[in-house]
Amino acid sequence: MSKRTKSLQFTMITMMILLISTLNLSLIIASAEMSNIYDDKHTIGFPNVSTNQTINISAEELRALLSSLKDLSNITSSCRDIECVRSSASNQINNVSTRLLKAEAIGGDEYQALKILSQENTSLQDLYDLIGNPELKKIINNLSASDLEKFKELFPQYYSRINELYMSGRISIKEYVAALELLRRIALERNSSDIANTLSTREAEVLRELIEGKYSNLLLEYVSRFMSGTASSSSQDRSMGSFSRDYSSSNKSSLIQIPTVAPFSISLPRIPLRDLITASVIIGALGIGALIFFFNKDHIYSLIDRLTKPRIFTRKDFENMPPPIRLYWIAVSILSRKVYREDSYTHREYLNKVYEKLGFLRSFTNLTKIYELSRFGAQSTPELDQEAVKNFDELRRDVKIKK
Amino acid sequence: MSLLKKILEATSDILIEREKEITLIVASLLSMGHVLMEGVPGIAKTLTAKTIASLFDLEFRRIQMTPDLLPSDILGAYVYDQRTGEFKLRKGPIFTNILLADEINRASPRTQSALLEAMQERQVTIEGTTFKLEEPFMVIATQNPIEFEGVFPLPEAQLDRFLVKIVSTYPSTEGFIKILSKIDEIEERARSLKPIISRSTLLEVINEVKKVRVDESIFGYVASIVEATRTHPAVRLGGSPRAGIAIIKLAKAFAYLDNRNYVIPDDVKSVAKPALIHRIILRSEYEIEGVTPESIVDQILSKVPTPKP
Repeated sequence: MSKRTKSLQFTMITMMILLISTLNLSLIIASAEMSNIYDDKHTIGFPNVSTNQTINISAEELRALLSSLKDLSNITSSCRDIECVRSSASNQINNVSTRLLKAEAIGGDEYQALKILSQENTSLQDLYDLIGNPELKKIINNLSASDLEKFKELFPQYYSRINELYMSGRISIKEYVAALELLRRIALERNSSDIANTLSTREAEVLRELIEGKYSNLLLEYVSRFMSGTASSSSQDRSMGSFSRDYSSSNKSSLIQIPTVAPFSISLPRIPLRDLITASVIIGALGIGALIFFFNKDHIYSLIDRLTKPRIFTRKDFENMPPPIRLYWIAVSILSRKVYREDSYTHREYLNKVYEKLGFLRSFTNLTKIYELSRFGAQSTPELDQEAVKNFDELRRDVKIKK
Repeated sequence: MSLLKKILEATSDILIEREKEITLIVASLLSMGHVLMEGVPGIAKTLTAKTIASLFDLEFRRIQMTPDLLPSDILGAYVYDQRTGEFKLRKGPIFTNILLADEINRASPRTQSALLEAMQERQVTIEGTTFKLEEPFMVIATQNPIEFEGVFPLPEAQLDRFLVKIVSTYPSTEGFIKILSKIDEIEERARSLKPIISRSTLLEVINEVKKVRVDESIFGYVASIVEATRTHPAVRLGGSPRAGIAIIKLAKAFAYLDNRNYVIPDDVKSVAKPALIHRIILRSEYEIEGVTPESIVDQILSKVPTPKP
């Protein structure tokens, strides 16, 4: 084997090992980051409260969302009732609710609740249609059918019941907000400003819970986890859903401590993990296959030849051949299982290949010489035939020993 | 001991690392062919030709080809003899056994044609009289591969007349050191070199070479190789039937030099490259990519199946 061939072999093996190692390393890293890498949107993930599934948001979207939340927080912290919020932050609420929905941080119910809370112009019928719970419908029907006196009398009891239904999870946030808004409108019609104010204040509280409490805390916690170097420490102390509001605080500018979300210095893989695993497995298998092929190519070529090419000789061909030629080619077919014989090899070249792979085989060397004399020198004597038979038998023994 | 071994032994101290060239030149001599040697100046082309001439007791002449050289300078001419008042034939340097035509591509196309015609016909016609050339007769033409100015490249048809093209390279460092350290000895040995066989024996050997057996399958193998040069996508002009004849002739000589009276596929493989490379003209796009006639022949030899029973 020449130095160049050896060098080429060495390079190929090294490259293959490097390739497989790199892929496996990628796989290990990807597995370690599995909870962080979710889909092809280049996202970081955190669990959705309602579904307990990982939700997705890109770093860019997260920065925009946190910024919107900060703006909204500034407004809502200074408003006690829903009218005030609507008049000053209707667009911001829409913006945040859309972003939260896109990030899958809120579901459809929360989104609709935020919509109701941000808009004054939702019709009564639309609000009523959003309510599906029969008991809540009945409460609304009773209150809307009653006159002012009756309304004032029944309201505390029914309001308490509505809150119970919501707290026990029997009605959704959407239904709860729709009921509050409906009742507030009815109270306004009945000129019951104290009830309307109570409801308006409650709606404002629900809004703050929605946009500040639950989800912003969640966001902050996960942002802190990913950006531990950049996130503020205060955000890490908050627990899920325990957003504390301090209206008496002198600093009412922002209740949410927005961490600085620095742009990612490294790019997380854009390839989905499952594709990465599949690709790694395929390439690894191909690499191992290539190595197996590389080290056993003689056997493989020989096998392919035997499977695909027609046999060099048929039994009929052998019948008319002089013994040295016949025995030589039988010997070649035996040896070619160990040492691949290309069609372009001469008998002497093949002898050299056999020598390289199996060492010196006196029997095959003699058989090759006899074949040459018989095949190309047209020499045919009984002695040559006997020599061919003798060397062939010896070769068979040699091959068995080599096995 | 085979004839080749004797030759290589006799020349081993004179021609350092020139075994391949010696073998091919001797094989060409035994095949009655001519040799085109390509190589830079100073790599013992003349010494090789001279040494081989001495080994076979042959006459050797050298012509330095120049653009102003005329055909008559090579072939000879009738000149007026003032003493006798008659025109007498003054034979040119072509009347020898081994003629070294140094830098053949420096001669004008007219002179080149005259030489190449004489090489092919093995006779020359001067003023209407035909003269047979010496037996054996071999031209060793050299050309420098790196010069392009003031040269007249040989046309393809004329290249085809050379049996082989030998590309000579520099010796290895070890070989070079050996030459430097033994230069006086080499020159002395070259001067005192004794023939290993006589001219008459050489002619007998040439006849013996013609009798070397070539199996039918070998003809088929050679035909496949030559045809493959014509169908190769990188080749514009492949081997002619004369290329096939050259391979067979050389293979016979190789077999004889190896003490065999029959040709084997290995002989064909050994001679295919020197017999074909000057006959293969590549397509320019492949030439630019660095494909060479040598690589084409290698490819073909690694694909064409050798004879089977």
